Amino acid sequence: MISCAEVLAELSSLLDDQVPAGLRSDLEAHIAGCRTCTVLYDSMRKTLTIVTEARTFDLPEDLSERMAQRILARVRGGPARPPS
Amino acid sequence: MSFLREVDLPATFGPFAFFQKNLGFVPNLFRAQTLLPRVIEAEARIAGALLLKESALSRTQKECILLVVAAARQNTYCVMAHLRILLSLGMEEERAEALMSDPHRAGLPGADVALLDFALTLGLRPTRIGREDVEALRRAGFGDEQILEAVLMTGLAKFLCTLSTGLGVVPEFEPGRLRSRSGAAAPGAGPPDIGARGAPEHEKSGPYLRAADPSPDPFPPFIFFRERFGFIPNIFRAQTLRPDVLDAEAEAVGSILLTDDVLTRQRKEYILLVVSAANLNTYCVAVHCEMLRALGVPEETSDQVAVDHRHAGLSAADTALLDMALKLDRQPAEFRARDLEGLLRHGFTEEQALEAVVMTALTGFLNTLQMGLGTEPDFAPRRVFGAEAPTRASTASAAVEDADAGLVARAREGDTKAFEDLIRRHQRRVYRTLMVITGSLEEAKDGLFETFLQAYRQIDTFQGRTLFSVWLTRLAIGEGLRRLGRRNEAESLDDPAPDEGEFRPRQIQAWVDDPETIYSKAQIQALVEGEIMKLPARYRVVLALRDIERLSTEEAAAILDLGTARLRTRLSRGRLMLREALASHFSSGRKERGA
Repeated sequence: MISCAEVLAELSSLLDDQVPAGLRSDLEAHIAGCRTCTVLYDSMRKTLTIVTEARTFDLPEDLSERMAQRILARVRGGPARPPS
Repeated sequence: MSFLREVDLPATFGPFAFFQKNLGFVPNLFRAQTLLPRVIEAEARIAGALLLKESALSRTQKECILLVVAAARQNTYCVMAHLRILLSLGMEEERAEALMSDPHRAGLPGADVALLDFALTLGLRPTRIGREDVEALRRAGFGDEQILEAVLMTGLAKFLCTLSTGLGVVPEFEPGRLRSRSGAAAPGAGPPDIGARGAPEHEKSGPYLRAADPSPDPFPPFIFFRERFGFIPNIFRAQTLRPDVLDAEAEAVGSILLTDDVLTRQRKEYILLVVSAANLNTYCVAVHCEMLRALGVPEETSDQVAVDHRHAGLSAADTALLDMALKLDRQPAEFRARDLEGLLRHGFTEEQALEAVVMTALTGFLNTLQMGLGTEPDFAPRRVFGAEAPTRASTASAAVEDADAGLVARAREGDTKAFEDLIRRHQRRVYRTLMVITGSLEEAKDGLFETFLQAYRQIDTFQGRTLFSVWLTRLAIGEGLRRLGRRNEAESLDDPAPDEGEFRPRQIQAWVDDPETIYSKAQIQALVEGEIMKLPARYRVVLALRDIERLSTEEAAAILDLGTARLRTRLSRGRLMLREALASHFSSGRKERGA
């Protein structure tokens, strides 16, 4: 029988589909019958979804423009690149 | 058995009777799509108009095009089908097999060889087609209507190959009939001189073929396009030499793209957009950005989706959809059942998965058509894909072209405008990577600057062995890690944390189904950013590489110089900690808040 501690240890790998098939079905069987592990699995899955969905650390428009100009100014005005 | 479920259709199903009558059998390719009969109907009309009636090219010429393109793409299913049809049309087996290895050595008349060369260039290296390829066909004696058909057949070949790969269709007959040829197993099989050609000069001004003016009577396909799109795309205007084909295309567009009941129109436009961008097709990208704008998607969003859909704020499901479409179009040799099953795991139905495959195939058809016809964009493109850099010898059977290759080549020569385009394409991703790794806005800004400077200085060393975007990301990661190491952090990335024992989750209350019922998107974004930034660096970095940059376990472990087991452990802990931090916000005990 799989314990909650084992499920916890494998949760991340399970979400990445990196768990061998036999272990996977054991884990899924435990999760299906255990309220705590169901919550953990579900909320971890949602965490990953939110991390990829939310436009986190989006570069603000004005900053992106300033950065691009700053880089180009250096690239254009700086010393010539050494010949290859 | 193909990847998706098949259902029984009534014996009176028109297309099946049509195929039985015209081909002598019902190809498995169409049986694999019985979940969506309207798609089979649209395809049957296209096949009928393009292939199965007397037209400017002979049936044999058309099947030869289909065969050689399928062989060059190493698509077993299509090769078997077209081989069978060619043999039934009376071609000798030896000649048909010779065709597959090298059309120059099959004893065909010079004109037919020129036809097949054109089809192979258009089918495998479409960005290299230029006006002079069409002129070469004219010199070989082909008229405009025949050339149009050659373009259509190549597009059809691409369509059938993509479809059969995406659906995992099994050949109707034993492949063992063919003697194995060393040529077929070698990557990049095809006429030997294709790789040696340089890029064409792009003096594109207008389509390559004369388009007959449609009669003054109302022309149904044009009425259809004007009604549904508000304009008549140039790609269809260019085909007035074959109004029957336009009819079939209009119906296909109507029943595949313009329906909303399986996949939404917007999702299908996204597929059209990213696959066209990956194929460096300026025309199609411009059209579909415009379509998306009409559907309410801001231009900056479609721009970012076209450049890098992974960092455009799309949902996980949409991202998975586009991942699938890109892999199917760009790396068909590696496409497997699990790539389609991945969609099902993201909540897509089998019908939606089928429609996604068909949409990807249709995009390939339209991209090929547009490259072959040379039509001008209907709208000012926001992004023009320049002439591509000369390709190195490809080790992949269907070489993955780098969408940045043209810009990189010009930047190498000192073209700072090209480098500016590269900055604009990639700075969002670089910034995000640096923010998460360094955990500091100031470091991220400085790091962004340094990363691009470094990229410019070292661009000569970029060999093209990986995609430019991957190379740049690694520079960014390196810059981020160096900055992190330099700061006086109490912890180092290497040593295990003093309390690296078991992490015990405390928040075990169920979460709400949809956080957007409690918070606005902007609030969620701020929450997630805040909590990620609070994580200790060692976990933040692993989350950045695996969940934000989507590197594989092996890649991330190599970059951080950790074993994969330790990497997995850290990732697990980082995710659990983040979950814990977010749980207090998203668990369903919270009162509803106004957004």
